[in-house]
Amino acid sequence: MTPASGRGGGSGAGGAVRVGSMRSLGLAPRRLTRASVSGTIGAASGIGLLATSGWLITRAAGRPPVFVLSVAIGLVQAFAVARGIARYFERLGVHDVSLDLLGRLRLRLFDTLEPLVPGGLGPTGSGEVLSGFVSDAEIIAKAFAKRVTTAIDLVASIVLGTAVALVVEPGVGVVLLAGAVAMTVVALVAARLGRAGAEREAAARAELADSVIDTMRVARELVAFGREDLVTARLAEIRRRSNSGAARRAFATGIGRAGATFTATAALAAVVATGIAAHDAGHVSGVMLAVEVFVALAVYDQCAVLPLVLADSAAGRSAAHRLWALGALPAPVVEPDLDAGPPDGAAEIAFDGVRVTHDGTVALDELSLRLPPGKRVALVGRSASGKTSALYALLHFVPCAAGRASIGGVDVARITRAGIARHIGWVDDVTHVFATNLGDNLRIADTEATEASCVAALAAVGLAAWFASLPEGLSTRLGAGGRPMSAGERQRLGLARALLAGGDTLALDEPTAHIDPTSSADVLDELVGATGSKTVLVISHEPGLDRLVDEIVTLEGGRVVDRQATRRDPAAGRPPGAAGCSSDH
Amino acid sequence: MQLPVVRRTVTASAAVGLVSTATVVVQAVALAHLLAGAMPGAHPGDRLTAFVALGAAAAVRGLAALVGETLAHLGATKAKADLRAQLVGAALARAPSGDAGGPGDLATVAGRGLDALDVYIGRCLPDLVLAVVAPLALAVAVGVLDWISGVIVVTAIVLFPVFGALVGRASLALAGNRWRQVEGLGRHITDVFEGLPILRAFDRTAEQRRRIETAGEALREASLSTLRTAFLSALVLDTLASVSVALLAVPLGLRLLNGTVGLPAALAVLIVAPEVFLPLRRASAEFHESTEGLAALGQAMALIGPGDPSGVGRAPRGERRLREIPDPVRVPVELRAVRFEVTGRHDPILDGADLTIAPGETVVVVGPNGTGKSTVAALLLGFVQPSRGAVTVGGVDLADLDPASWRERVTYLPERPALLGRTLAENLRLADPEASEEALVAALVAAGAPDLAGDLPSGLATRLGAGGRPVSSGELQRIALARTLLRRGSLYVLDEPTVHLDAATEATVVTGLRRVLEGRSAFIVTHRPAVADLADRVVRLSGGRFVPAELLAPNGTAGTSPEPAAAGAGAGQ
Repeated sequence: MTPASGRGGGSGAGGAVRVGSMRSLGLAPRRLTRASVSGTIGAASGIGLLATSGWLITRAAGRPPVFVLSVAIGLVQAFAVARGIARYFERLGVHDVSLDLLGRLRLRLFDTLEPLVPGGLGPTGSGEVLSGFVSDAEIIAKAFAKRVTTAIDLVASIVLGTAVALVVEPGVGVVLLAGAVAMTVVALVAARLGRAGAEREAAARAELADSVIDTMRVARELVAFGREDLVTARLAEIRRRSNSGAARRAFATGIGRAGATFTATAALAAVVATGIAAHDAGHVSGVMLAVEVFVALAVYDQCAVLPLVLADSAAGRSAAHRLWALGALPAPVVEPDLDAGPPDGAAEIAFDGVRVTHDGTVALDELSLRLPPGKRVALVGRSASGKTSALYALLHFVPCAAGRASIGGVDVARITRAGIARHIGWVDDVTHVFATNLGDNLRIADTEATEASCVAALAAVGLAAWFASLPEGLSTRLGAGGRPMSAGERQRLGLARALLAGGDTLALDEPTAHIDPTSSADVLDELVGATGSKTVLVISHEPGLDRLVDEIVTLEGGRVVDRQATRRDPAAGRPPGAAGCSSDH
Repeated sequence: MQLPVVRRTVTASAAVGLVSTATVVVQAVALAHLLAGAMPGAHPGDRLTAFVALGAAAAVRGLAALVGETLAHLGATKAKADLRAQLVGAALARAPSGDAGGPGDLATVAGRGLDALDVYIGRCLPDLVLAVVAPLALAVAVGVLDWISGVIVVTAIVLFPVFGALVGRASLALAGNRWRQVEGLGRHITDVFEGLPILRAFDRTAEQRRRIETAGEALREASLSTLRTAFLSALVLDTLASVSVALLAVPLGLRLLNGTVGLPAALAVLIVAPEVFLPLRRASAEFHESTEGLAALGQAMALIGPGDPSGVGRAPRGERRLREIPDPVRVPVELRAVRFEVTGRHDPILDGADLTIAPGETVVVVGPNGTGKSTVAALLLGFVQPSRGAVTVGGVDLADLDPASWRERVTYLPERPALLGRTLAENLRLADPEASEEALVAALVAAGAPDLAGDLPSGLATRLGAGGRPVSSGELQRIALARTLLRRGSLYVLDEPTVHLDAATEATVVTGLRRVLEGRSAFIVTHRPAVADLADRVVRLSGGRFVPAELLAPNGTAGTSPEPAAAGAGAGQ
């Protein structure tokens, strides 16, 4: 028994950090420093290029000897080349930082979602929603890169430019700084104006994504019923709302850019006016006045970029909202750090007065059930009668609001995920097939499974013929982009996985709901045949269940309404490979 | 690109850009005048006029920025909205034939993918136009001020796009790669997330976490190496721009020494110089971003596609389709030697399949999954067309009928029904927009879901599915069945009508179906004996053909006898 060994950043109580805020992610300081240094060199070169050029020209107008200009000529060329190169390394550096951030953000997201599925995300837990979170992480990282670049350039330009201007003539330096600050403030205010519009637009976009998914799911019905107009109407509505948000954002961005442009020229005029006054007062030469003005031009060019970047960052902000909100969702269960579970091998499964609540309503109540090793129990009942809640409580995906579910007398709340996995193999009603090869798909249940045991597990669920038809055997790629599988084949694969896991109990949630019913009874038979002496808790509507299990428990409205002891037919378990025979009832 | 809004946006941006460019020249000349006037021995000149000119330039430039930016953003929004509508429309048209891609893909392209167009249409395209218009206008201004500088500027301007195109082409190819890589990783991660419940149950999340970590790291490396190349174009252009400033400044300085150029002109040229390259640099910096926008646009266009395989949207041009639809209650519906293939499958799904559904006859098809039963349903709906042979109604090829009018005669229950994220009533009224509340409740009762309307907190007005009350697969099936029962059709195409239902509910449903199928034609795919019991005739698909089936005869009604069909035909006439 190895308590939770080999689990890296799992969902243990003391373990994973969830997505919460940008700050909590931290940055790679060395990468950031590298980018900042490059950015500062670039900003300095930009200022240097213009300042030196201005000096060169105005000084040349005084017709000095050529050698006076030669240093400036060299500097101008050096700055010109240095600026491009520095900017290049700044860009790379910042993207390095942001990609690194993205990697960590994804992992946090994984850690955040892990304890939430299944059971903790509610009805929004579909794959599309989950992938939406992943793309949110990408948006955040991208917006981050842009902001960091702008911040580096802006701060470096303002600081360096102000410093140069202050040294040359303090009065001009102060005005230059005031102008830069004014431009920044104008840009920030305009961005705030646009935020409301952007949020509306983002909400409309989210709705659009939902609507698209919704539509595509129902597309067949819509077309068959001739109701495509519903979609058009809905799109038009979303579009109207999105447009009003976009108009506001567009206007705000325009105001921002106009304000910034106006402020830039006004600030420049102020710098010139201050400089000329200082010049007239004899504090600064005509040449140095020109230098001040060119420095101001360089700094204000940089400030003019800010409104554009701020306008773009709205998407990043709404993505961040979504992710941080996700991080605030409570995990339905806390998994223990230490495994108090029973030793490997057959153990009694028991429910003692189990109650499961879901969003405040009782999904299952007062379920008491005992499955000594080898016993097979079927849970039956209408949809939403609490069958799946019972299974989830046993698997510790959801907590027991009252009573307890236990394995070998140990409350499942005290058993680690690994411990539960060693005892119970779970088959969902829709088996997810990963976009990887068949072998890897099976080895999710048992990483060390040999080829022979994989093949045996496939045979046990009636996939022998299917497997034989695969040209690449266990290396055949499945899932998205791989070999298509029918619903039945997928479920059989899920069953094979559960068998391969090697636990002594199988928890089957309508395993044959999507399997061709002419053979589903046979598959269930085969499963039983393959489980041999294992304990089985199965939710099913399959006819003939009474031949396969020892007890049938009927649930209704979360309560047991009927218990029926049945007489298992010892011959019911069929040898593998018998699938495909026609049904006989 | 069929987006006129883009052309309008670009034209407006160009006009606004020209105005803005003119102010740059005014501003530069005014500044140069003020600076030159401060030189030793120079006359200060008219400073007031210069400051007034600066102020006016600021005001006009600001106004131009406001108009230009607002127009650009609005244009981008409109273009995106147009594209999205086209995307969804096209996808909707294709969805029934099954080649629309996953909804997730579409949502990605319609959502995040097209958002890349914001930058492309709102920023990159206008800047691209400006990058052509503004530098040339400024070059003329520079040439007027000093013709030698003008020549230098024009040379640099000509070199710029040449360099840009050379380096940019390479980076475009690489960005396409990067987009695919990002997509690939995104798919991989989605895949892992979708399987997260299973991974958790088998305690394999730690390994998958490591896989995401490894894949993420690989992507970081790959992206960085791509960016190293992609940013080279920016490096080249940045350097060219700043070197051009140096190339202007140095000769100007030297010529000032020997007095062949005046200081005001030289200063004005130098002030204008960075502005010449600003739009070029900005456009090239955005080039990298615009490639993502272009890639998204390409994807969107690919999804929208040229044609309309199912004929759902509009009828193919130049082809008149019959609106007078033969009624399956009176005439037989036939599959005649139908062949149907899907890409990626070696054998055709159907090959020489013949089937006649006589008026009023209920044909049940059984057999293992994957033999083409659902394909036949799609053929009957006209969602897909046979590659050989024909589906006919009263002898008329289905391909010659107006698809929407034909579907008005058909009641369809798909294999995996789905719900709109709307209210229960809205979902039911998909099948019959005019149905009264009583009719909806009656349909729910007949579909074995009497409790559904009553138990829901807001009854029929309860919002279901995404964002609303979660629906179990059993409830979903019963809602879909209620839809089926609400809609009066001449031909019922039901694909696994009672899957997910318990035996008691199934019995209720079968009773309801028996009533509505009276005198109607039906094609029912099922595995359930209780449903097969509805059959006048049971067939199975074998090797792509229909063969008679004799099974599932709990009360001896199933068989190959056509008598009930004949009776139905008689009733219909």
